[in-house]
Amino acid sequence: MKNSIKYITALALCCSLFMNAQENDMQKAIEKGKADLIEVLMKTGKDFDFGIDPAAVKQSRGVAGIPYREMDFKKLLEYSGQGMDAILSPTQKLVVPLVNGTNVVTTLSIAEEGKGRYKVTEVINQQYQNELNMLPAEAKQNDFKNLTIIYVPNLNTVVYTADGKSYTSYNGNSLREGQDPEMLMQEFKIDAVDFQQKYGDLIKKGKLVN
Amino acid sequence: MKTKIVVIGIMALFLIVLQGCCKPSEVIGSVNNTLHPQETNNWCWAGVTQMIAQNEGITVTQCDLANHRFGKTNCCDFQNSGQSCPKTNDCNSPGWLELDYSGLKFSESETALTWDKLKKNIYCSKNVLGFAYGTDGVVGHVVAIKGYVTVAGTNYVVLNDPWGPCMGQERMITYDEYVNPTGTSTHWNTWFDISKK
Repeated sequence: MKNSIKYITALALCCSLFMNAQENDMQKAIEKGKADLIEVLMKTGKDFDFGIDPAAVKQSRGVAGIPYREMDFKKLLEYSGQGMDAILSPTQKLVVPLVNGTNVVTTLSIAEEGKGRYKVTEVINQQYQNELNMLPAEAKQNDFKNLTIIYVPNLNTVVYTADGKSYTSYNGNSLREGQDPEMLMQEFKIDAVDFQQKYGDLIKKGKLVN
Repeated sequence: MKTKIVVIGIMALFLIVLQGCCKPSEVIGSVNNTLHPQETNNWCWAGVTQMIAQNEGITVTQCDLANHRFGKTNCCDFQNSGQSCPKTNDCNSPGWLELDYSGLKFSESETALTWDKLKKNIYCSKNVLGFAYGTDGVVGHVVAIKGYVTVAGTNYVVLNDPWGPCMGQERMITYDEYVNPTGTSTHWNTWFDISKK
């Protein structure tokens, strides 16, 4: 009995250390991305126009990374009400908003490169910045911790989900209003079937981009 | 006449040697290229073709490219009356770069360019490159590469991304992300060494 307690304690300690190390590594990647971005903005003003004020980035803080997942298009074609989550990929990267108060200044993306280590993959994305700023406060509670970003391939749209609601600008929907995810999935399925009929054979023949 | 040919030959040779000697900056390189947002939510290929062609001094419109690709004549029609963007949903379809049709010569590679080759294309040849990526079995995306920067030991690539429709964005990814995009996506194609026919 004593031994079991020892083993469990040791295991819990290891897990805790691993989680802390992972958290630290994630934080390091975010700090690296932010520092690189500030340097780029200060050095390359003449060459590039990212439309971001370096001072605003300096004053910002990185919050928890938002998981980015992609919808499986084949599963979407056969969707039968099993829930959006059931047809999503595992998390592919984390989108990290840099915020000043409630305003998102820009986003970084970081991705796991194995064994809990993270690397920066992107340092400016105005699409996420604009869309995150448009979401209602309820979707961004707790520093965006409840949020997930979902990309729907072929339909070429992004959905934000939080606390059982979905937010998207797809087909004229408003990012400011939460929707029932099931209603949205039905809309996606109809459009996915239509897309497949129009382009399914073409995609089999060769690559296409949109 | 003979002398003229020799002089022209020597000058051409000199230019080739000069080009070969060009040493790109280790820190930054950029091409002055105007961002053109895609004019429907499927026309990234038209937007990037337009940006690359513009860099070579050729003017093409996205809707002309779409008319050509889809064999239609109505792709320049507005979707909403009085607004030039977006264009009609009737032509809102995915595609592929139309560089040949636009009067351009180019090389293309299914593998990413080395960092050195990418820098030379931008810094020495002042090329805007095309970069397509995606997941097999679904439609991918294409962007224009217009610059590079190295900061604190990390190499970054600067993009003119025609997404979103009628907006576009200038963004920046790591060179590693260009070579091997995150998740299920892979590098599909890079168009480089581009010039007028």
